[in-house]
Amino acid sequence: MKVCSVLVIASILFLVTSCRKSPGDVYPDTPAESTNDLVVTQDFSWQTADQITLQLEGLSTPLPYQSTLTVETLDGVVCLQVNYKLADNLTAMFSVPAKTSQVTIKYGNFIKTIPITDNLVFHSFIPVEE
Amino acid sequence: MKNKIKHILFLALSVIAMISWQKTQAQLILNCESGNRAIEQGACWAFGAVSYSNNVNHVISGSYSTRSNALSNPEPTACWVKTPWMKMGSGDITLKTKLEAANGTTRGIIVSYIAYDPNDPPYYEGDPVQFYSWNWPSINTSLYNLTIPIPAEIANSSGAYKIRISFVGTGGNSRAHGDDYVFPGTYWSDPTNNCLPLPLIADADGDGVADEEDNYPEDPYRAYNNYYPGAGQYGALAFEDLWPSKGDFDFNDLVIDYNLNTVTNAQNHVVEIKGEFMLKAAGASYNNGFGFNIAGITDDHVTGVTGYEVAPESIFSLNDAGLENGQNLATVIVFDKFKRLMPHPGTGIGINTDPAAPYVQPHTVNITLTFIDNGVLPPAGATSLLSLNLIAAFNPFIVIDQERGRELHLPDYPPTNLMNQSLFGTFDDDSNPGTGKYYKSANNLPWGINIYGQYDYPIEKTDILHAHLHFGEWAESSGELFPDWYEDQPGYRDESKIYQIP
Repeated sequence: MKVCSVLVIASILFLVTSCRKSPGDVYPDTPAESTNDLVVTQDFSWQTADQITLQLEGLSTPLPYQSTLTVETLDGVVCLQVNYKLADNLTAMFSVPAKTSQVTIKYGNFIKTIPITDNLVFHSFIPVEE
Repeated sequence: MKNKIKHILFLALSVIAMISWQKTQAQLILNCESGNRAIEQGACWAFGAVSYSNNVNHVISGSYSTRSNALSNPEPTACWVKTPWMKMGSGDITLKTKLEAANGTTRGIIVSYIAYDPNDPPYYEGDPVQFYSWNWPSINTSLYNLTIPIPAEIANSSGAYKIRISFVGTGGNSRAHGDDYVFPGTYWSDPTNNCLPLPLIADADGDGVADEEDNYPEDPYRAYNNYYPGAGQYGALAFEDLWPSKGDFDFNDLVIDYNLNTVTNAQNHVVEIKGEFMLKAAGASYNNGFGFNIAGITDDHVTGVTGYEVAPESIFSLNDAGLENGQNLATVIVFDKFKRLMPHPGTGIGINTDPAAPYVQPHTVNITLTFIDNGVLPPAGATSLLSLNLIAAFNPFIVIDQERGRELHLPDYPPTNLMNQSLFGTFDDDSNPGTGKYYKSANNLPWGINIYGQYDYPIEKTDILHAHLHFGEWAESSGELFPDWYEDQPGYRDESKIYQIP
């Protein structure tokens, strides 16, 4: 009897937990047959592009060095072109296809691929002392 | 908070860097007050076995001075400080120096100049030419002020040189300190180009942007193109025009390809926004108009708009600048009636949505929204590209079937001042201006979508879900799955349900 009760309780627990979605599993199980049947959250923006913030920390030079800074996707599409003074900090916005993970910054002969983290691309021109 | 501290530290470092070494009137000065050689190295100074010290027994002036390794080598290549590339002035190089301890057999300073040698990569430094040497008169810890004449052969040079100050010695282990190094001349290094000398920059229009980087090399008022989604690329806008009632979700009632180019000047100010709008399809009986505004941009930020196709007798009232009257934001009406520009082919449903009907060539409208007119600013002053997030701010809309108050925008984008807001919340619309919810149904479906790339739309009365097979997963995953659902990739489409351009 005691074993029976344990088995029943275990079965109930199994059923309850198996019906619960796993962490991260938030999508409906059954595919919709029409757009009208889609289950969409209120905060979904329907955007196919991400808005990215570029933040640069500048490096002081006595001669106000200035040149063109570009941001490109990895397949070479230019997202942003600005005239950038190396001594300045810079914040700017640009757009990339949704879920783009990296962009390339070019400034003079400086070229670096930088990951996008939380819609932010950050780079400091101040070198790290070796 | 961490970022804030980092920014404060950066600002402090920048100020310190400006104090640590400076270009005053035709001089380069190294006084080490940054406390961090990396800052000077970033600006193209170099150090060989020489560090900074803030030990009170080492410092000559301020808080930091240079400190060499033990001077046990008579060669000038062992312990040294080297300037960036510079154009030499005339007069004297000066510095202050002292020994750390009174031991050693000999102690001295050797000064050399290094000419730029274009044939000697990667540093392009020619052989050092020694032009000055000085020895401690006796091994002691007294402070000495050195005055070193710049050699005539490099004084007021047009070429680029470096000066190397070397600390040398034999015997003992005492080190040398240095401070307040002053080098007459002009800084001429490029920190972003491996610290090579600054190149000669061709700049035909004199706007400060090199010709090879300037998209408008002969126009002083323009410098750069900033395209969305990219040069020669197009995004797409697609609408369901039965709003506020649901349609058939074929998202082809109005399809417009577009490219936006934000043209800026050398100050990164927006000169103009050029919009190329290609009318592709109208799978509807309504005769819709189309326009846009940009969040934060009012009539005072612009000088006018050209290129729109709006008939004088249209329902739209435009001012002398070409912008719509009665609006808080600068509102551009791109065209008033789709079917005036792309007539119905005579058979089939709509325009370019029925495969059985004749194809109608797309019509393109080219808009120029001018912000700065040949250097003349608008009343509100310049708009900086750095503060304009164009694509987030871009607010396109259709005016449904010539009813001015019946506007349809992208989901959660606000209406213009001329919208009949009593339409909100009627039929299938679940807009709530108080919460910022616009143009969505109760189950959060839109009536318009903005696609980053090429959009091949469904044929008439075909649900987009059945043409673009991952559209549903994209929507229901809030964009996590198949963010590229619109692309032509294996398994992404049912081609039989997508309109094929003949």
